[in-house]
Amino acid sequence: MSISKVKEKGKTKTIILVLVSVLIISTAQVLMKNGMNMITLDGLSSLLNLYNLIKIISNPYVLGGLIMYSLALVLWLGAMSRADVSFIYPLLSTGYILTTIFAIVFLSEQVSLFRWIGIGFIFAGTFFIGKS
Amino acid sequence: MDILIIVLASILIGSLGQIALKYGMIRTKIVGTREIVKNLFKVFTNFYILLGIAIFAASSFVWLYSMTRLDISFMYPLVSIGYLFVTLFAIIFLKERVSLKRWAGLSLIIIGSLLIMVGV
Repeated sequence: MSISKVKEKGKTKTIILVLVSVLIISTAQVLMKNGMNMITLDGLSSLLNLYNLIKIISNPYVLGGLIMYSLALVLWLGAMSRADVSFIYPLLSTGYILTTIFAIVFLSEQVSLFRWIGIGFIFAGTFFIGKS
Repeated sequence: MDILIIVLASILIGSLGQIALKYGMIRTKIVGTREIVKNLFKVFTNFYILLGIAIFAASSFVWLYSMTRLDISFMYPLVSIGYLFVTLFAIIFLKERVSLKRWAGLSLIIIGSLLIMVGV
């Protein structure tokens, strides 16, 4: 096998690794948002209060989301050890479409046409980056 | 403080976390998920990886705070501003090289993010 073929195989594996972590991250985002919808915070400085941090973390949806995140982090580290950050980070954008769909289906969020067009631009941008 | 600035700050801090993690992985010289699982102790005792995780934790709390004020379908696509931050930091701190095509892609991402921010 030529060196370039070996590299190509590694690239596909990296992409799959990132896409699996994207699915986990999108699910985690929606879970955390659902949990945070139940919590009221006064201002940004409320994060300096340990009681508030415990209140956030002890919410089962937020906690579940955070656990999923740490799982995705291990996959991320694996991907990052294989390729440049500037190559793998853009692959994250498939998650914007997924998270937006999840937000509509599970959280009943309203998404304007403008927002979809913005996401479309972002997705097109990542395509360019994937080809570079 | 304007909630949009708070979201962007969270994304900027998160990008710095990415760079710390990448730098840590370069230092450990470990490649691939299997090797990471085998060397979990070495990975999670690396100073830069711990620093990266700490920065991520800070960024996450600011992110969670923003969730009490904004839609996730508005916030999440804005993470793409992080592409610009990470690329700039990767050039400065990790000496990564970025092609013209990647810059073109980044430009589209920036336009998309601006559309989302302006479009409500």
